[in-house]
Amino acid sequence: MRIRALLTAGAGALVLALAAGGIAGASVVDPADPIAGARRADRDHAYDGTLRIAWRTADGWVAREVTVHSDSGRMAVVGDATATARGSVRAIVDGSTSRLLWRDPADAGPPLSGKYSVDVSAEPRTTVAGRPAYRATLRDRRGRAREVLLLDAATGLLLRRVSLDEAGRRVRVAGYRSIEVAPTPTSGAVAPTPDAPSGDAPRPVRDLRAPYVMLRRLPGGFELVGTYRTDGGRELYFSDGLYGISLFQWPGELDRDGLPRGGRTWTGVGHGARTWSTPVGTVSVWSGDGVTLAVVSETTPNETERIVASLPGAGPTGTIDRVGELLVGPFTLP
Amino acid sequence: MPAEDDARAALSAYLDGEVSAEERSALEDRLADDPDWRRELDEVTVVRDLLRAHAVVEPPAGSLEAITAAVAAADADDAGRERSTGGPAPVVDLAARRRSRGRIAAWAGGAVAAAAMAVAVVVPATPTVQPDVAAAVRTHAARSSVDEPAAPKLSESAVRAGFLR
Repeated sequence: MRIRALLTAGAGALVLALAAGGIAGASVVDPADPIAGARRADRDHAYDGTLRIAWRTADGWVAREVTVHSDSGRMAVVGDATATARGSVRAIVDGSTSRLLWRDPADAGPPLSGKYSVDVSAEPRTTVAGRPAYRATLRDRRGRAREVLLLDAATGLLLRRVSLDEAGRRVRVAGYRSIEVAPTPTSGAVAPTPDAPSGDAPRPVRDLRAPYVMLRRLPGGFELVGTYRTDGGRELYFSDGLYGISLFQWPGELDRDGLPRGGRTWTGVGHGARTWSTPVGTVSVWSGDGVTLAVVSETTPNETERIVASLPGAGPTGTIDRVGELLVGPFTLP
Repeated sequence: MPAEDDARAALSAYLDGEVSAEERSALEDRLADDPDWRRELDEVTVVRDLLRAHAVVEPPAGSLEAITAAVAAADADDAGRERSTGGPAPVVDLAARRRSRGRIAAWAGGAVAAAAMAVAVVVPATPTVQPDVAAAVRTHAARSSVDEPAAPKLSESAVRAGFLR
């Protein structure tokens, strides 16, 4: 009789514990903006892991692995180079050189809900690196799944992120192959962000003047978030709430001899924009009207090509060419 | 605050990479703290870009007369202001310089035109640029990672995968 009572009490306690765990798990995922929720989880936990990133190119998939050490928002990602984060500061150490990549707090972009809807699974039905995870699906206005996030049921950490194109095919995947979350953050386990020349980091600028081109939005619902001075040029950063696009500008015509090898040419875009696939996304460079422009885009290659085609100098011809055609046209032999 | 010419000279040397590490650090601290200095840096950069972009152009007809008239008008305006205040200030700081922006702009325009006329040729020449595309990609990833869980974006910066098709 006594044993039965003990078993009954134990089973009751187990049910209560599971229920409490389920409630706690559900509360760690922000159903309105799971990406923002995962960012907060990064700040509140310490973990070590091995992250695999893979992306699709015109010649097939490419994959790499890095190790990640994170503690209360301080992070080191070790691959061929070491990238570090502390608050809004980002730096990279490559061999014996370090470079400050970013240091200013980011201006807020448009809300995720402006262009995307979020659907979070009621239960953690899948696992990543052995950890139960909720599935959040982000859909565009046409109802197409564009991003799948798998979020740790215990902490809310982002365990895997899958980007999809307009046809539902995967274009980029970043996910942990292994991850170990510490019971409590230890604050200080991660090496501090190295000192680097502050002049290397982009700085905000209020407005742009010629020869730079100012744009407030890009096709597809991308809105200007910030304008920055970079080495020898300017950067305009756009967001649609989910994906970011940078438009870099440098005064002068493009000297193609200095471009990276490989890539391909978008012949449908005026002046032949040179385009590459990188782990970050699609990169495209061209020039027109005395300015060289580069787009670094996290959205799909198709959408990026449409955006590039809408930008200055990337139309059928630039202004100078059009003026030239106007002047020379009547005298051109058939 | 140094005089306007000193500020411009310091910023110009900074942009040309002609300052020591200590001077660079001090100047960047100043730029970080003082919006007037940042605006000054903007203007120096714009003038430099203009000089580079239009170093060999033929000035439009009548431009010399227009510049001369604009500078004369600015001088007359300044003379009137000096009479009303009892004379010019001995040192011009950046805040004061903002109030006389029109005059500076006129002089900057005159300087650009003068430089252009000094080397006037018929065919414009456009400078070329070799952008550091790899640095641009890393800068984008760093900026983008501020809005999100940072690890995936930083991992993209930490691998050397090349530029593929």
